[in-house]
Amino acid sequence: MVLQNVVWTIWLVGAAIIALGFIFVIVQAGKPADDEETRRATHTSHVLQAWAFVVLFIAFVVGSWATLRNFPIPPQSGTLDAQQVVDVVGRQWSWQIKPDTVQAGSVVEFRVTSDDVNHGFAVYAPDGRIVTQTQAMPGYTNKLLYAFDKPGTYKVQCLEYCGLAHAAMTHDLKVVAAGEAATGTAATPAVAIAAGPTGAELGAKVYSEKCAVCHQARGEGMPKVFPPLAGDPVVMAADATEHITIVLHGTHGRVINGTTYPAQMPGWASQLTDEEIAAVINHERTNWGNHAPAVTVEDVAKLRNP
Amino acid sequence: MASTTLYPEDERLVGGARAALNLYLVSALVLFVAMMLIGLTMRSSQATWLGVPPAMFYKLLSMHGAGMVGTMVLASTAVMWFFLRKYVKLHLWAFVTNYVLFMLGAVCIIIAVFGGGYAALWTFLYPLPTHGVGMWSPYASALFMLGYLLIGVGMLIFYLDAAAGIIRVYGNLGRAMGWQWLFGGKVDPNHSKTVVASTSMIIANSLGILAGAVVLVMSLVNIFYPQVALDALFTKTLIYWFGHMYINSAIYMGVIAIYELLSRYTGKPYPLSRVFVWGWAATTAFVITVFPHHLLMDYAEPHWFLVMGQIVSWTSGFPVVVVTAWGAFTNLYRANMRWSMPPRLLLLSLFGWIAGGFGAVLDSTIRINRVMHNTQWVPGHFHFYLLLGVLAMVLAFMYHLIGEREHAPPNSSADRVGFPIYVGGALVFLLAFLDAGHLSVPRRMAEHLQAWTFTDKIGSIGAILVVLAMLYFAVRITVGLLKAPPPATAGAQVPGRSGVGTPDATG
Repeated sequence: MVLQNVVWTIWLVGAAIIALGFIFVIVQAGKPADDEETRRATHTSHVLQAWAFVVLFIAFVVGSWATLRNFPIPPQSGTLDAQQVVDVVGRQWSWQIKPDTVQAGSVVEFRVTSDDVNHGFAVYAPDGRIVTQTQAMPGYTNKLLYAFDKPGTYKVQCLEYCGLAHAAMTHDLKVVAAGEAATGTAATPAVAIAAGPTGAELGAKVYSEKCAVCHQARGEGMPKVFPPLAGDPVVMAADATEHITIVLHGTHGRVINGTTYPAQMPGWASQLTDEEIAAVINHERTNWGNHAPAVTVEDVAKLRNP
Repeated sequence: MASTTLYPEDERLVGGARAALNLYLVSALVLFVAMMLIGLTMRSSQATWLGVPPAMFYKLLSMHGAGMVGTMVLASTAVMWFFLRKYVKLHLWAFVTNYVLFMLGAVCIIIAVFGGGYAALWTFLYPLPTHGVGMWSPYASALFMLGYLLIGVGMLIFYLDAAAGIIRVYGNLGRAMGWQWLFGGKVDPNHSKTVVASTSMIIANSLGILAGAVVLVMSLVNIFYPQVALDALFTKTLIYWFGHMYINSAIYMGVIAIYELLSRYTGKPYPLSRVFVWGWAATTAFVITVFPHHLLMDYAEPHWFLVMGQIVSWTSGFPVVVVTAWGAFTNLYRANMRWSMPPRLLLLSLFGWIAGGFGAVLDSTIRINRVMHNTQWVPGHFHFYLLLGVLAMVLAFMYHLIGEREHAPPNSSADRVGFPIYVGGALVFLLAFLDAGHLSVPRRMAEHLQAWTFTDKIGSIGAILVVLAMLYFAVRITVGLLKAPPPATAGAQVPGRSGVGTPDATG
């Protein structure tokens, strides 16, 4: 049973009943009545009014009991003893979710916070419906419990407006069957992919998750807001020092080809490994018409703590 | 008790008072149309019919949210002023000062958005105003907040003047609300419902504006002294306390139009009762305490606070249904109505308020909010009771006013065409929002997935119809308002159920 369908049905039925009530009133309003009929109708109305209050009050008591007796939000202080724990950090405009693979059939505790502004941590099922959510707020960690009943690729979407690239603030969350996870395939993709066959795949994945929000999928950027990486002089330079430094430590207010880009680019040193940063830089240096020498993991490591 | 005379003499406007009211109403109409066009632009962009870049979309969203809420309150303030001045002395300077400060505030907001690129929405949730990431500067945010402060100060001046006038007549605010009759005593049926509703909103919305002032000043301090960090949860709580009471005041000031006007068109008295006094005492408490339903997904809030949000939201529907709507239905029953635009719009406003409110009550249930929060279900229900509720109340009031200038309740052929276009368009527009919410489509998002664009397109078609109807209403009412008022006695003493200018006399 999809809760949204139940709510939609309840509202449609309720709105139809309300509309029928109004139609009744409109029909009756067009009819005349003498003083005695008006007096009797007023008396009847007062009796019905009392009954309406009683019915609404009973609905209120029953509804409140049914929806609150098992309080839907877990205690926020202390431990929750969930079998799985996922740490979630939101920042403009990406999610850091560790691990981002969980098992179906057992409760997951999401510990959700933000590094900068307010975000909304909403989990969409493969069918496109929200299954649960909480807010990601700087300075607070909201604990959310949820048990996935079906394996699949779920999508985390920011639901609290957080600035220009809010819509693109998404992240995949893999839900695997319990047995599958037990064999060790539930390791975080960052580790799994880093051990994968090619750096090109890792570079494309990191770019898609962390960079494409602003610089766009084909490196074309957003005019006057986020610079294009296709043809960018720093990306094309033979000496990759500036490129690596920017990706590690961020930048802002750069003037590129005569255009000022005031947007703040975050540094990724605290979130990405040397392997991931090397891979994504090489992805940028070898795509969309760019042809620049590749960098190594050692090049990144040297500049990480200059 | 509200008059059953269609255009009583004590409501006549002359000189500066008439000019001031016209300023309020014409400005509100212009702003309503402008904000609707912005809304239509955004929906059409989500439908992929227009290619509005995200940077512009979020600026438009900020303008639309702040502009629409402000305009709703501006228009319903005019409703309250027009009727309350019959019962207590209101100073015209306070009414005009509110208008001037509102317009100055609006100019600040417009410059902040379209000049400074501000796009942190009406909510200015800390610390987003200082995290524009190059799209806007903290100074644009400061200008936006200054605009809010000016609007709030103007409203507070108006409320203080009204509170002083009420206390001069009734002794204190409690007696004005009829609290002396809560537990006994003979209720005075002639006690003004307008005074009760106005007093309620003076109490609630003044608190809201003060909460807003506190959080605005805190946010401004943070902008100019970033080392003074704020607590994100506390500021959000204050913002929604302020925002909720501010927009609620639009509804509850607008409902005065129903209390004052409905009985004139039915010709039946609509006296105050003990149930009404209880209803408004409860409403005052509910409006002040219901706002945690905006914070249900902030799990760090105390859980009793979130439970209060759900419980008070559910009970908030009681006074609306059992008191106001029930009273109106009773007044309409067998009234031999001859429908014209004002009563038509008044009844519509009750439907919009109740049906939209029902969607809001569902959303305020914590379990439901967990899958509906920040989806298009939310704009679905609040547009329902603003577009078909508050705006219908305000339009009913405006149509009533131009009826006085035309010596008959307005009900032209064009009105009879415009009304169903407005209602039909609004229902299409609103059902598209609600359906999108049920399909988990996010609100406040410039770029939509292909799967979401169907409801965007349907909603856009509804919005086009609403804008067309509203354009007609705006022109029709503006022309009517600018006509010279009738001579002092014409139409002023006509009894409610007989003679020229009464509901019976019009088709």
